[in-house]
Amino acid sequence: MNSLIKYVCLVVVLVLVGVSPALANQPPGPGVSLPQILMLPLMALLTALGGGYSILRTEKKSRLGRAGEWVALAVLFLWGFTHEFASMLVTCVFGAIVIYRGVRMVRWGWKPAASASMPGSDAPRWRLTLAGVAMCVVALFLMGSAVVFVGYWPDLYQGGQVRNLKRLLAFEIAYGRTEKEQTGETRFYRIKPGDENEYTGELLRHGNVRADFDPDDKHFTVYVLPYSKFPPWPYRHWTKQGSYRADETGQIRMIWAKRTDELCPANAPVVMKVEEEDIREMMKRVYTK
Amino acid sequence: MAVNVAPSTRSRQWCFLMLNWSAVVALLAFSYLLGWSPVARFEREQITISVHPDHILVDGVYFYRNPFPFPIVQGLSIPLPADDTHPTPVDLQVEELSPRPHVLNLRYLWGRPRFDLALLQNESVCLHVHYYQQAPTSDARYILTTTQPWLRPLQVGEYVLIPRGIKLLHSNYPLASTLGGAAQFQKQQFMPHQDWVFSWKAQ
Repeated sequence: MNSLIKYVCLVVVLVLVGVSPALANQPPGPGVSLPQILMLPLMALLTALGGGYSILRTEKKSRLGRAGEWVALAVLFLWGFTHEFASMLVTCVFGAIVIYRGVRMVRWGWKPAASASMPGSDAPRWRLTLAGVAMCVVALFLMGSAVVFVGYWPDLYQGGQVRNLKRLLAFEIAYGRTEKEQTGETRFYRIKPGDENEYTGELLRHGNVRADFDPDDKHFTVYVLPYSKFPPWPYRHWTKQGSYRADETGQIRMIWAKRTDELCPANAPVVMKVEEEDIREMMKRVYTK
Repeated sequence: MAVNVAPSTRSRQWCFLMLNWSAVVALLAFSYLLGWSPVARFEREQITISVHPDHILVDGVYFYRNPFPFPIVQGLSIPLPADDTHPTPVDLQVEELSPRPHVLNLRYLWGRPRFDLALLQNESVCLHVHYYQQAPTSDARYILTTTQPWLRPLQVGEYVLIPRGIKLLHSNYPLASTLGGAAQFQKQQFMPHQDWVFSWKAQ
């Protein structure tokens, strides 16, 4: 029995961990379906490790009932792959099954007298209890991940903001050069809250942009913070969003952030630059009107 | 707490256990196949890369087909070739060009940008992916080897470099010049074993 468990554990490890997932523009792996996929195998594994099968096999069930259960599970499993919302629902149903099993195992371990089928068990009570608790924790964790990530698509708007940030930088640099021609000093256009000009309005529409100007308007830094909320802990570690920083040099820097208030530092890698061509075009567009 | 069990019962229990574990292993294998094997077919790609002195603009057009007589949703992600000398690409956009033109939402999960692509029965879908990448060392890489997990070669792959104020120095895939000044290569039944790496210098 123990060798069988070890063998199955090895198979689980090889299948789920040992095989490297394929890289991108190919199907990347189960994504949101992962909790759905993992739920029942983990239940089986923890039941075996806790010694729950020695109790479960004493329970009488008709063959028809058992076959019906397997068919229903298979249908649910396949349906979960049709849409991420379906996957979330299936994960929750599977999660409820796992929690039910976990609670029963805890009860068998905690109060053996409460179960009529207890005499079949040859497993230590602490193992039943521990595996039951682990099962509930795993189920809640996997259900949580499915609920948290369903409909979580944060990056669409921020991509547009970075394009707007590049246009704003071109505008600021063009403005600074014109100021220098006219006054002999480079000063930039101070962005104010509620500013609705063509270049700032779109960028400032949401509250994730911060513009810091020196009092004399000779230097500025614009921060574009992560636009969308992050999922709660611990799921926030599974995802990331860009946090950007730009200044009068025309360079846009970026780091991957895990908090919505995480500012990009000054030494972060440059991911985009305003070209001379962009500035010339902006000069023509704005200042020849 | 332990009880004695008769040999016939024991053998029945052993069969039951074997059946149970076989089901678990089968479920895992099935899950593995569903999760990591492509359901859709990846048939063609046309990659156009504008090469500027310090950055590149990548525009990829990809063609996918659902070979089944029922709708499917295919999870996809985009390979972004970032390392110490090549910063993370930005301005990443994915849109479906046909049959239902619209912009697709992205999310970063486990380090990769991912999206879902819905394909109706026996339908072909054309996607456009765009990104911008700084190239401070005047070289770049386009990831081709991710075609391998699709298990089938691309029917056709077309790869074009458009120089913008630069001179191409090297490409690990031999390039042919075209009339417009671009350089390209084309492959049929293409199963790439190496990524496309090229370098240039500013003119």
